[in-house]
This record gives sequence, C-alpha cells and structure tokens, in this order.
Amino acid sequence: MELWRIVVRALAAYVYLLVMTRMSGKRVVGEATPFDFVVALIVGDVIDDALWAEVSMAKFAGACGSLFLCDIITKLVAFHSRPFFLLVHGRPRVILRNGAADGRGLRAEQLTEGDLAHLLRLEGVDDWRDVRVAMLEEDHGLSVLKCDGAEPVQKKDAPRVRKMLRWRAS
Amino acid sequence: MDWQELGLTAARGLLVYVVMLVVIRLLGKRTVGNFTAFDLLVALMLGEVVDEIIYGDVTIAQGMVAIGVVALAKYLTSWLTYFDHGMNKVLEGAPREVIRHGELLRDALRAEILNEQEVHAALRLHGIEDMKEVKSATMEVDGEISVILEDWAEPLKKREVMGEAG
Repeated sequence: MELWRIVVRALAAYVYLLVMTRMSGKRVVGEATPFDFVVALIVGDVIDDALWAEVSMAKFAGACGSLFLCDIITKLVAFHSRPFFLLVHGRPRVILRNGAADGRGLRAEQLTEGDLAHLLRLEGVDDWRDVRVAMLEEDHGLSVLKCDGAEPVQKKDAPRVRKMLRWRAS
Repeated sequence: MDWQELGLTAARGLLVYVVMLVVIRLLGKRTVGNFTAFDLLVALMLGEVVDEIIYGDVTIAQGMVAIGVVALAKYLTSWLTYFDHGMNKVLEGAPREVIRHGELLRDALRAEILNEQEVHAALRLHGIEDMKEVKSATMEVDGEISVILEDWAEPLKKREVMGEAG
C-alpha cells in the first residue's frame, strides 16, 4: 500500500476521533468508570485496522460512531433516570463509619483493613475516630467526611476561637 | 519454529520500543497533569498501531508513517491549543461552573450531562458534605471538579486569630 494513503487515513481517523470525543463530553478520563475505559480501548483497537486498509474508512467511522452514540445515549438516560444511573455506575459504598471499619462494605469491595488504612493515609487521616463516614465512590476514589470535632477550624469560628484564647490568657 | 523470524520479531519489538519512547518524550510534558479524554485515545491509537509493526504484518515504513502522522497531528493540536485560546475552547472545551454560592446551576449540569449524585460524590471526595460551604465548583476540561470554598468556610489562618502581632 502506498504510504501517502496511510497519511490520509491516519489524519482522517485522528480528526474524526477528536470531533467524537469532544461531542461525547469531556469526562472520559477525569471520572473514568471502568466502562468508559473499555469503550476507549475498543475504539483504540478499531482504529488500526482502518489505518492498514483492512477495513474501509466508512466501516471504521460507523463502528466508532455507533460506540460513541451508545456512550452518549447511556449518559443521557443515566442523567434522567436514577435507577438506570445506579445500574450503570453502582452505589457509593460506606466502608468506614464512626471510626470503625464497616466489615460488610469492605468485603463487598474486596478490600482488607490494610487497604482501608492505606486509603485513609493517602487522605492524611491517622486517627480513624476522626472519620464519621468514609465512602468508596464509583470512580474508586475514597471520600472522607470527618466528624465535626475533627474538621479544621473555619473562618466563621474565628470570634469563638479568639474569645477562647483571651479566656485562656487571662 | 523459525529462529530467524523470532529474531526479527524481537528486533522489530526493540525498534518500536525505542521509537515510542522518543515519540512519547516529544509529546510528553503537556499531556501529563492535563490528561484529557482525547489524550487517552491518542495513546491507545499509538499503542494499537504498533502491534502490526512488531508482528511484521505491515512494513516498518508503513508503521513509522502511521505513528509519525498521529504524533504530528497530536503535536499540532497541542501547539494550537497553547497559542490560540479560541482553538483551546474548540479542541478541549471550556471549564464550566456547576455550583455557585451553594446552589447547583441546573443549566450547566444539563449541558455537562452531570447529575446531582455525581456532584455530591465529587464534593464528598473533597471532604465537603454541606453544599452551602461551596462558593464555586467548576467542571474542568479534564473532567475533574474543582471546588472553591466560601470565605467563612475556609480554614482559619493563624494570623486571623493571633491578630496582627501573630
């Protein structure tokens, strides 16, 4: 096959995919669910056969187009229907509550207490009792909600803190 | 088993490895830290192109042309987004505010096909439970949601308690 044909095919595929990703929304990586990843892998796998002219460019456009279309439809339906959203994304799962590991949540996520300790250390949590709820979110990040006493002092608390310090000093 | 063919495959594998290393280093820097959906696709495209080169299904010249074109196109689009901010908006999209002063901006959510549960999850990941604490939350181009707190919800700084002397 002539080399310039590869140039044309690669450029066309590049621009086509660029447009498709932009149209499907920009969230594929930042909140990539495992399924987003699978879609990306499939698209990546489809492209090379098109470059070597093993399939026609029209077939390639159709294959990628239908994948992106499914992706957009899934997103739209999940946006409007909560049951479908939960089906696709799963539910955030509590794995730590009031300072104690939630055994059932951990088992369901196939995590050990050691994994939990690791995740909490990454969030800068040393004393588990500071944590009211820790949840494993759908993108597999750990969210940590601290109990009120363990939250940093906020600016709105400034007058009280000042009063307390004055009282201590006197 | 044909030993010569095996050796050739190994040699092609080595060549592809070196070429990809150079290509990724040349594109590199910018894609790290701002890894958008499309960056991932480009990485996958390059990854898929090379297997046929290694197995010798296409000639090395054909493979190099394909890698070169994809890498060059990526380089050009990165370059365009760097120098032309209008182009940046077209190619990467613009960040969009989704919460302002504790209120969800419904139109923005609809435009991003982002539902309330996803926003709550993002806030939880920032350790925030009460949306009233949020002055502004923005969906960034890489899909991350950034959060800026209301002034009163910011952590207290030492100088604000100790007075000017502290």
